[in-house]
Parts: sequence; structure tokens; C-alpha cells
Amino acid sequence: MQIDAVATAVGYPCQARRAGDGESVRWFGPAREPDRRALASWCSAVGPVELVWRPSRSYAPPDSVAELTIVTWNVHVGGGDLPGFLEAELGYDCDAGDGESLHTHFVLLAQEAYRASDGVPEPPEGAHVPGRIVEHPPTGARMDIVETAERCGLSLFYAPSMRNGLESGEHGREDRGSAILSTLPLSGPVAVELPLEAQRRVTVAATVPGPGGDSIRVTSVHFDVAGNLLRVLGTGGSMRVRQNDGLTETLDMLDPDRVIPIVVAGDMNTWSERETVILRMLRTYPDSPAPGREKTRGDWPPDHLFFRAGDGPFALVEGSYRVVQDNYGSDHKARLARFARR
Amino acid sequence: MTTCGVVPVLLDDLAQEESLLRYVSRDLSRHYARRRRVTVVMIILALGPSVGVPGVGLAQGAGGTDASTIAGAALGLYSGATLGGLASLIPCNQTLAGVRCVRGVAALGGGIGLASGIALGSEDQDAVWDAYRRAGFGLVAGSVAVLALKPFVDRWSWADVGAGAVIGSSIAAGGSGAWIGLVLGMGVGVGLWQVIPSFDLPEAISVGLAGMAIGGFTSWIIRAADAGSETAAADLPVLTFNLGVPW
Repeated sequence: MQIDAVATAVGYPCQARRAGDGESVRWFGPAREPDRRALASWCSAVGPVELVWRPSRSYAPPDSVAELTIVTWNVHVGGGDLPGFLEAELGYDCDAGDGESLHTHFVLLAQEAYRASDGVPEPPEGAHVPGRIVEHPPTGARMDIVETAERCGLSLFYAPSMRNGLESGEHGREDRGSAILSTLPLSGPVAVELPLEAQRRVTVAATVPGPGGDSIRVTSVHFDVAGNLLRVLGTGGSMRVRQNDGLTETLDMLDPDRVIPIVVAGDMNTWSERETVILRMLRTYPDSPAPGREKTRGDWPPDHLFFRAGDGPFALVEGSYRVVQDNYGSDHKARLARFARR
Repeated sequence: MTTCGVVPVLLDDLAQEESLLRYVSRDLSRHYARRRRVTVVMIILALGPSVGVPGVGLAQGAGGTDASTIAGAALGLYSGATLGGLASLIPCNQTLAGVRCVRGVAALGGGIGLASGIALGSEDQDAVWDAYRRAGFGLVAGSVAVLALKPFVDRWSWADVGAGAVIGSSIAAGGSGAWIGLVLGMGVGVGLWQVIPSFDLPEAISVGLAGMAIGGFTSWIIRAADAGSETAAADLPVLTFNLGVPW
């Protein structure tokens, strides 16, 4: 394939893009060749995407979605207790059987989700392999994103951004990246490799049936922190703006007239709620809630949610956008918002 | 609308997108290579004379030469642009203009430094060589500081040691006003951070960097204005001091 020829030529075939369910995914990436070479090196060390199109559980009414809750949460590579979070914040019992009632349908946009699998390949020599992060939730065992989706009966779209360390005696092969978990079926999966700053970051997007059945696109984003001092000086601090420009252009290619309702949320790694990238995103997604000054990681406000109603019938439920006060073992607090028909 | 370097390519649509990829890549490669060359030449021009600075005294009114005028211009441009860029990083990245704002302030700082450096170099070559000597010290201090921190910061590489050298030399070339401004600014910033709940840490750092730039520009302007006068001040009068080095 011509587009992968660049990667293959430098010894880093990025097979993970098309392996497994990757064939079903539309992949986008930056056009700049240095970006592509470096991204291929990172990609060569990760496994294929995971796609579970439909939730494995059936729910009692509400059959039609009356309201949709969208959560964004950086789950810190296994540190965040996802089942505990879902039960406490959304009233969703992962261990309940079919036919249990559901308080609300939800979409959880996760960043720093991890997967432990033998399907993660041995990295080629020289491939980018960042250090391993192994976090444990406050209660229960560490559980990867695939196992979480299975246990909770949720649909899943997971695309790894990078490997999670090298395999060693007590640790198996792992990768980590962004994911979408939902009680609703997913369609139209899209993966976007963001312009490279410090680490490869893949944004995942999919469409779910929103309140009343009309579709809404949901997107889980993880922008980068500054790579280094030189990069900050050289770019004038515009690293995340560049990544957002790439993402926005991609999403505009998918929906040039901006008619499809869309939620873009995630860990933007911003140091201020007034950072340029936030101001730009507020323009791109004019129906977003105010970013708010609440800190979601230590003394910083990196996590945000943006919304554009487009021609869809949905609106943000007033006052529903909030920070979840307990971090459930992650180093980030989640943000959530509810959406309903106008 | 496309943005420099971030034009997305649908990785599935091969034949059509390949031509776009090649066009954009070639164009951007040229653009980035040119920018790197200009930056390297600027730094060499600006800092080159700090290597092997003649051991001249600090006597005032030594007169200017063509060489000292060019050297003063290069150092002033470099120092002013870097100080302006650093000071504008945080405030500009809280505006929609973002990096365009940073570039504007860096250009303004470069302009002030350039004009001051020309004025200084055309009147007083000793003062120019003294500024180069300071820049040389700053270059070493900046790289040593980053080198010391490097083991504790995962992502820093040798290039960051170079970045530390650039920052250190531009602050030092800005005269004592730059670092005094940095210290005073950081003091005020941290104080406000402690007192005002809505004043965040980035703003505190921003005040420090603004103090550094204002102090540095003031030093350049004062040195330029006083160059060639009978009672020339070497720097901000209240901040001038001499360190006796016994070896």
C-alpha cells in the first residue's frame, strides 16, 4: 500500500492500523512526512484496534433513549475503577444480568485506557516504547479496557496510541490509548492519528443513536503535553493548537457542513481553561458548556467537553455539566454532561 | 482551510491522497529546513563573538566600529526577540491569536534589541564586547542549569540543553535588568498567586517572564541611550555592580 510505503521503508510497518477490526475503521493521519515516519515507529509497537459494535447486554426500558450521559475520564492506565465509577455515578451495575433497568444510557470517553494481550506484537528494534505505567484501582483487581467492556456488557472502540512498556517477567504485553465505551451500539468508527508532538496520540470517534434515535458523533481526545523545552520555544507553545487543527480538519472532512451533532471531549492537557486551544474549540463547537475553572488533575484543568448541535435535535441539559468529585483511583477527575432532545 | 503541517490524509484513500501527501511534505520540508537554517545562522551571528571575546576593560566611550555595530545589532536582535518570545508565551497562548501573538511580541522585542544594539555598537565597542561576555556566561549557566535538571525530566534531551543555553544567553545579554526583572516579577507573581484565588500558577510565572523582558529591554535602551556620553552608565544605574574574580 503506497501510504504505508513510507513506514515500511524506514522499517516500521504500521500493521496495527489494519489488523483485526482495523479494516472497519477509517484512519486519518497528518500529511507531513516526518510526522508519518515517527508515528509509524510508535504504531509498530502496538496491537490492533478493538471493536465491539453492540453492547452484549439487553436493557429494560428506557428502550428509546430519553437522555444520554456523556462522560470523559482519563483512567490512568488501570488506576481508575471503572465499574465502581459506573455504579456510583451512573447507577450502572456491571455485574447485573440482562433485563436490568437502566437509569440512563451513557457514553464513556476514556483516555489512557490500557489493554493487556498477546495480540500486542513484539516491538521492532528501535521502535518507540515509552515506560510502563502500572496503576491499580483502590478496590479490586486491575482490569484492562477489553475485560471491562466484557464484564460490563458494553460496546467498545479502543485504539492504542502507544505501547505500555516492554514485556518483562511479571508484566505481559500491554498498550494504551483512547476508547469509547457505551450502553449503545457504535457505528462509523474513525481513528485520527494526531500530528506528532511528544507521543503518538490516536483520537477515536464513533456514532451512537442519541435521544430520539438521531445520531450523534462522540470523540475521545487526548492531546499532548509539551515534548520538551526546545519544542515550546520553537513552536511558541502552539503544540496542542496544531493537534487540534489536525483533528478539526479531519472531522470537517467527515462532515463538511457541520450538520451532525458532535461531542468532542477528553484530556486536553491544558494548563489554563483560557488556553488558545480551548478558545479555538469553543468557536468550533459553539454549543459547548463554559469550560469552568475546576481543577481535574491536581492544580490543573486539563479535561474538557465540547459540543456542537449541528442540525440535530439535541441540547445540553442545563446545569448538567460537572466535575465528578471522586477520582476513583485515577489521577484525573471525570467530567460528565447530559444531553436530551430540544 | 489548511494549516501548516496538519493537513489530514485519509489513510485508506491511496492514489488520490498520495499526490497531496507528496506535495504537502515537499513544501513543508523546504519551509522547515529554511526556518532551521535561518535560526542557526541567527544564533551563530549573535553568539559567535562571545567565544574569544577580547579581554578589554569596561572603560566607556571606546568608540564604535562597523564590526561592533553589526555585532551589537545581532546580539540585540537575538536577545530582544528571545526575551519577547519568552515573555509572551503564557499570555499569548491565552488568546485566539496564539502563536501569531507570540511572533508579534518576539518581533517587537527583536526590533527594540536591534535598534538598541545598533546604537550601542556604533558608539561604544567595549560595551558590546561586554554584552557578549555576559551572553557567554549566560550560555554556560543556562546549559548547566538544564543539564542539572535533565536527569529528573524524562523528555528532555541534549537539544534542551541547547535551549537552556539560548535562554540563558539571551537573559544575560539583556543586562542585569533582565534577571532582576525576572526575580522581582516572580516575587510579585507568586505573591499574587498566594493572595488571589483566581490567579493561577501560569499567571504567576507569566508576571515573572514579563518582568524579565521589561527589565531586559530597559537595560538595552539605557545602555544604548548612554553609549558615547561622557557619564555613561553601563546598565540600570541602581542595578550596577562589579564582581571581583580573584583568579
